[in-house]
Amino acid sequence: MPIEHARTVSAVPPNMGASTGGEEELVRRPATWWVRLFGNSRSLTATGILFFMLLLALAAGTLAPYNYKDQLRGSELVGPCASHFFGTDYLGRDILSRVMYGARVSLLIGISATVLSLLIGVTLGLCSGYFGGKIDAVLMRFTDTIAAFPTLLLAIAITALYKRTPAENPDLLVANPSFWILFFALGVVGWTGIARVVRAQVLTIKTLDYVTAAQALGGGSGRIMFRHVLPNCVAPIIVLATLSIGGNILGEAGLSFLGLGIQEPFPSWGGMLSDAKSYFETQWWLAVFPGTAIVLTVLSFNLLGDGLRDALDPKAMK
Amino acid sequence: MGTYILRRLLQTIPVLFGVATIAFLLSDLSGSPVRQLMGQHANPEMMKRVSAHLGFDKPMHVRFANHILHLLQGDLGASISKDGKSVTTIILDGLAVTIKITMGAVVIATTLGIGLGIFSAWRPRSWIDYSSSVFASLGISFPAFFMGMLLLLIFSVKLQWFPIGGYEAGYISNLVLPSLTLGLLSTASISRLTRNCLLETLSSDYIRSARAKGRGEWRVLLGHAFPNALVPVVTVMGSDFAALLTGAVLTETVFQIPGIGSVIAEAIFQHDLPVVMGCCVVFALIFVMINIVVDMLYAFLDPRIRHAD
Repeated sequence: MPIEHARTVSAVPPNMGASTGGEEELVRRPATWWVRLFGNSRSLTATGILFFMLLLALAAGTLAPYNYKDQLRGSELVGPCASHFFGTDYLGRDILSRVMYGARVSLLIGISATVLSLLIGVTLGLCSGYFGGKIDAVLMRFTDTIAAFPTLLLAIAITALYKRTPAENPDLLVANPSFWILFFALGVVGWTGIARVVRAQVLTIKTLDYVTAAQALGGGSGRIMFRHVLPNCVAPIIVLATLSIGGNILGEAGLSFLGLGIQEPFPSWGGMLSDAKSYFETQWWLAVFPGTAIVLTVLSFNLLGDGLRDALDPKAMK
Repeated sequence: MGTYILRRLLQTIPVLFGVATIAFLLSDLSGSPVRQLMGQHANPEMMKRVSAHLGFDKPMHVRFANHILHLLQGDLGASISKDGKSVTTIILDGLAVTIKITMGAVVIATTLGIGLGIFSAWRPRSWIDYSSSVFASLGISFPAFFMGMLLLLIFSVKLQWFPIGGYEAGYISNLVLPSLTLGLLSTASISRLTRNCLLETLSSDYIRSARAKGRGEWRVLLGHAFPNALVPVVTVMGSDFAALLTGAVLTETVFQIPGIGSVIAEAIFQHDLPVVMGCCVVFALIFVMINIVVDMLYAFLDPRIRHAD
C-alpha cells in the first residue's frame, strides 16, 4: 500500500512541481525505501551478487560443467585451467561445480535457519514486551541464558549429539537429515538478538494511543500483538534478519569446517575448506575459491542489511 | 560501587543455573556414555555395574542434582576417548594455549582498531576512513579459518616469514599468525566503533569550547574526546574477547595448535560428547564473567551509570 502511494508521487514530472514555485519543497515526499536502498551503490552491488549466487544455486544442475561427485581419475589436484576453471580437489572433483552446488547449502541453511530464529525470537519478544511483568522476567532470563552461550559452541553441541549415518538420497538436500540438524541448531541458538530488539520495540509501541484504542474496542491480546503491534516492528526485524542470514552462513561454514555440516558427498563451502586443510599450502585453489564464495555472500548480506537499515530508518527521512 | 558489584553478581546466578541446566539436558540427551566407555564386547552384567557406579541408573532429578554438585566442584566429568581423563584437565590444558593466542589478538585488535578509528575520525570521508570502512565490512564477513589459511599462504608459503604450523612452547613465531588472524577480524568492529563514538563526541559542546580556547587538533582529539569515546569501545572489546575465543576454536586446526579448538575438533571427530559439553559450559562461564568485568569497567569509566542504578 505505501509503495503504490509513493509511486504515484514520484511519477509526477519534476517540472510540474517547479511551476508551483516555492510550494515544491512542501509537496515533495521523501523517496521511498526502495529508491533509497537501490540508490545506494553498495546495496545495489550486494543485491546483484546475491541474485547471482541465487542463480548459481538454483541452476547448478544445468550450469555446472561436471557433477559435484564425479571423481575424474587421473586429474586429481589439477590447478585452474581451461577444462577446470577453479581446478580439481584431491579426489579429482571439479571445484567450480562444487562451489555452485555449495551455494545451495549456504543459502538454504542461511535463510531457513533465520526463518526459524525469527519465529522464536519474534514470538518471545512480542509476548515479553506486550505482557510485561512475570512473563517478561521469565522470558528475558531465558533469553539471557541462551545468549550466555557462545552461539557457535552451542550449535556445535547440538549438532554433535546427532550420530551421522549416510544419507539415503544425497542429491536431494532436504532429504538429508544433516541438513535439518544444521537448520535446527543454527535457528535455535540465533534468536536472542531478535527477541531483545522486538521486545524493546514493543515496549514503546504498546504505549501509543492506537494500541489503547484497539484494546478499548475489545481486541484480544493475540490479535493486537500480531495485527497492530507487529507491523510496526517490521523495519528493524528485516534489518536484523538480513544480517542474521550472513551470520548463519558463517555459522554453517564453521560447523562444516569442523566436520559437522552437510553429509559428504554433497559439497558445502565450509566442508570444501575443511578438505583443503592438508593441501592448500601447495594447492591454493582448493581454499581460495570456496572461501571467496563465503566472503562474497556474507559480505553482500551484511552490506544489504546496512543499506536496509539506512533506507528504513525513519530518522533518515528528511 | 560495592553494592553495584554485589547486585550484578547476584543477577548472574539464575543465568548460570540456566546454563548448567541446558548443559545437563544436552549431555543427558546424548545418552549414557557407558556403552562407548566399555566398547563393543562388554557383557550386560558389567555394563550394569559401571552404570550404577557412575550413577547413570538413577532417575533424572537425582542425576540433575549430581550434575550440579559436580559442576560446583569444578568437575565436568570424564572423557570417553582419552581413557576417562578428567574433562576439566583437558579443557584447562587447552585453554592455557588458546589464551596466549587470544591475548595476542586482543593487543593487535585494540592497537590497530583504536588507531584506525582515531585516524578515520580525524579525517572523516577521507581515503583512510574509506579504506578502514571497507576493511571493517570485510572483517565481519570473513570466516576465521579462511583468514588463517590466506595469511598462511601469504606469510608462510609465499614470503616464508613464519613457520607453516605446529606449536612448540616458548616459540613466539608460531603464535604470530594465529593471533594476527583473530586480531584482524576484531580490528574491524573496534575501528568502526571508535570512529563513530569519536565523531559523536567531537560534535558536543565541550569540544567546541576546547577548540575555542585554541587547543590543538590532536589534543582535542586525544585529550578531550577520546576518553569519553572509550566507554562504548570497552564494552565491545569485552564481547569481542568472547568472540575471539570462538574464533580460536575454528582457527587452531588450521595452524595445528593444541589449544581448546583442537580439543573440540578432536572430541567431535571421536564423538566424545562430555568434552564438547564441558567446553560449552566453560565458554558460557567465561562469557558471563567477561560481561560482569565489562559492566564494572563501564561503571568505573562512566560514573553516571553507577549513580543512575
